[in-house]
Amino acid sequence: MNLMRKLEVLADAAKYDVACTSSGSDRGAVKGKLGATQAAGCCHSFTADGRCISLLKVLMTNVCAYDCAYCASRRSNEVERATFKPRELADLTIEFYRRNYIEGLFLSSGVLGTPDYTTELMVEALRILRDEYGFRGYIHAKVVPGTSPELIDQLGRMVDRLSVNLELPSQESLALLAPQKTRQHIVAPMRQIAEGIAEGRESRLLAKRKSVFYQGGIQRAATRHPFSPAGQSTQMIVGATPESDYQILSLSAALYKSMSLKRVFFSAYLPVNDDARLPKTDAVQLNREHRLYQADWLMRFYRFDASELVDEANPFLDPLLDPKANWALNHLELFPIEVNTAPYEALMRVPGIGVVGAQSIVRARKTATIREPHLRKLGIAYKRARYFITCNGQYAGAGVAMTRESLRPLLAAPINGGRHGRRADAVLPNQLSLFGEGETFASPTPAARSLSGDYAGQPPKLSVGAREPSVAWNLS
Amino acid sequence: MMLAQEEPLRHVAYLHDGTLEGLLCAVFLAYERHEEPEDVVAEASYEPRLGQSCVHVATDFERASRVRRGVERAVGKRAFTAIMRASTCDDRETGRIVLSFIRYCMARPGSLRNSPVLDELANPAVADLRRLEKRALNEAEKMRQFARFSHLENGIWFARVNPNASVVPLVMNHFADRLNDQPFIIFDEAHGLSGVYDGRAWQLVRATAVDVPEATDHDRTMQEAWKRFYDALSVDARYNPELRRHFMPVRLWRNLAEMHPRGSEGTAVRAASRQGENRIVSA
Repeated sequence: MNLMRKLEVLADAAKYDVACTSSGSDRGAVKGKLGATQAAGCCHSFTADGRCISLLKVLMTNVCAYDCAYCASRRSNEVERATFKPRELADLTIEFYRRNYIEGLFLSSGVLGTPDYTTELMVEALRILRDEYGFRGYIHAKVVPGTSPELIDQLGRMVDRLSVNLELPSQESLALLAPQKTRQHIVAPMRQIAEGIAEGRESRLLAKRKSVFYQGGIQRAATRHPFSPAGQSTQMIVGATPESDYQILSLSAALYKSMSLKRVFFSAYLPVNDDARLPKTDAVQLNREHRLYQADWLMRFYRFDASELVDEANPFLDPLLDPKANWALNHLELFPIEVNTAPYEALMRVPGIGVVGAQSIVRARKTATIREPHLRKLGIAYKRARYFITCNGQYAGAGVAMTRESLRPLLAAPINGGRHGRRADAVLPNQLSLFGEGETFASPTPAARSLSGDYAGQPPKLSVGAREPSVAWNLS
Repeated sequence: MMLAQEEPLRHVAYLHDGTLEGLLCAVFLAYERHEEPEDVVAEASYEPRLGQSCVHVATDFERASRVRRGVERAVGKRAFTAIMRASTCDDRETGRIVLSFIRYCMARPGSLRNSPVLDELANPAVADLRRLEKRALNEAEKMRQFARFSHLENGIWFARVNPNASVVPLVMNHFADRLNDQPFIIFDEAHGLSGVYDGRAWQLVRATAVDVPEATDHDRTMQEAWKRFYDALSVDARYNPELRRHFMPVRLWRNLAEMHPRGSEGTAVRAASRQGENRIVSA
């Protein structure tokens, strides 16, 4: 098979990996070596589905010993198989990088033989890139579940970011859909990476501190080859199993807290295999994924807690209302706030004011009193924000009662999924609950919900037979 | 035409050579002649207004750096950086906005001395400049994202770009750092400006057209590989062309190999690439 075809096959198999970020690592240039990274990352292209291409995202091999129900490359599927030679992959990365096509490499893999053998191949490709070619661009590597800790350590010192896929939002679902992957295979490396990163950070701080005592060689080595300096991330499939948004977001919150993850990615379940364990639905829950990401952003950048967005009584995010607006409508007693005096944290919680908007307001009000015309120019969505703020004492949302019922229609915003995409197909709710025989998880989310009604207060009913897992993931 | 003068003109446009230095000299002139020009624009893009006289500004590095030093002394280096970035925008208003920003900076009340002038977002003079600065930075980011180098027969790496602000100077450090020992040229077709890096240092060269040799066969192979990679990565079930257009505006597509049509032109590319392909396989 020629390289061109190989690239096609292995990129096609990698496209279901969500993460394509090149952020979190700031590495300046060194004379004579190719590449540098910037903390903000850089997207170099966008595919027809609107997702960014920042890295050369490929699998080392799509040969796989595992047989996960949801995966296109699973053992029992008849697909074209290919494996990169480590040097081929390294050369291709350099060629693409020199043309400014990519920020670096995203390397994942199927399991070729054993997890350790696969990882050794990946390590070899990265060694050629880093040591032989002196490549200083971004590298993101996936940990193959079941890899031994020594190899993970080796891998971690060559990459910017490591990630271990949680795959599914609960252990029970994992056991059902990916029987060869165990909790231990996933949580142990995650824990190891978290500890490695923390250790690296500590020794970097020590190495930076000017002190008189001898520090030994270890710390200097840690500075030179930091362990996964851009942190770790994970991803899980949403919609293949019956977990609620509440469970998913609680799990993400726990991951951010206990594993200090940088990102948790959600991937709307796409039916690629015919399998009795999977929901027989053609609807991709893109809107649900979108709301989950909004909630995720609120947790990471807006200092929201998962419990403020969804709870056991309302375990699903509202499909028609973004989670921040929903929170504000549930806490109308806190509004309106005065933009000239409200603290930054309070400003960020106003629907229509984002992080940048709140920062602009805080800056601008140091030297001037902000009035409505100023506010409109500060890069905020004034149309939404006006119901929740006063501007130098003036309330601009007059005429609308300060109640959930009257404000909700004004803030409701269906997700704009474009006019041509799958979301544009008029998919009728309730049309999709066609389930196969045998043990299957029902799909409880947007499809099963009425899209027009306000369902706040009444959790959507799960289809009969669906099991609600009690503990999502044991992370200890 | 430089008027002998000295009566300040009421309806006047200042025409400079389109460079930052030219613009700063125009600012200098406005102070010198005690005038409030209606337009401060590059000579090449000037559209006269009815009843307007125009003054051609001579570019003088000494005068330009006096303005620079004055601004930096009054409001700091960061503010001058903002002016520099804003001045790359094509907008007709750019010159006037820079002038009124500098006028505000020089006349700023002493009581505000300790807070950065750029934080005064409620002040129109500042807000306008920040808006232009942001536009320039966005365009520079687009260039960092979407400039595509191809390897030419003579060993140079060449990128053709069509930005809507003259941001090549803002991205040269970025590319020179990361590409390091790789000599390259970024040719801004729209503004007739090239950034040339020889592997050690970069400089700007004005030229409205460049004559470059063909890309190598191997380069065409790589373009083809990149295209195939690009196509393979899209998930059909998530097809959303509006979102792609939002992030990657159509005006930039003509310089992106992955967006070029696959059909008739593609066959030529593929034929040319077949040789290159053999080379990789045998290597």
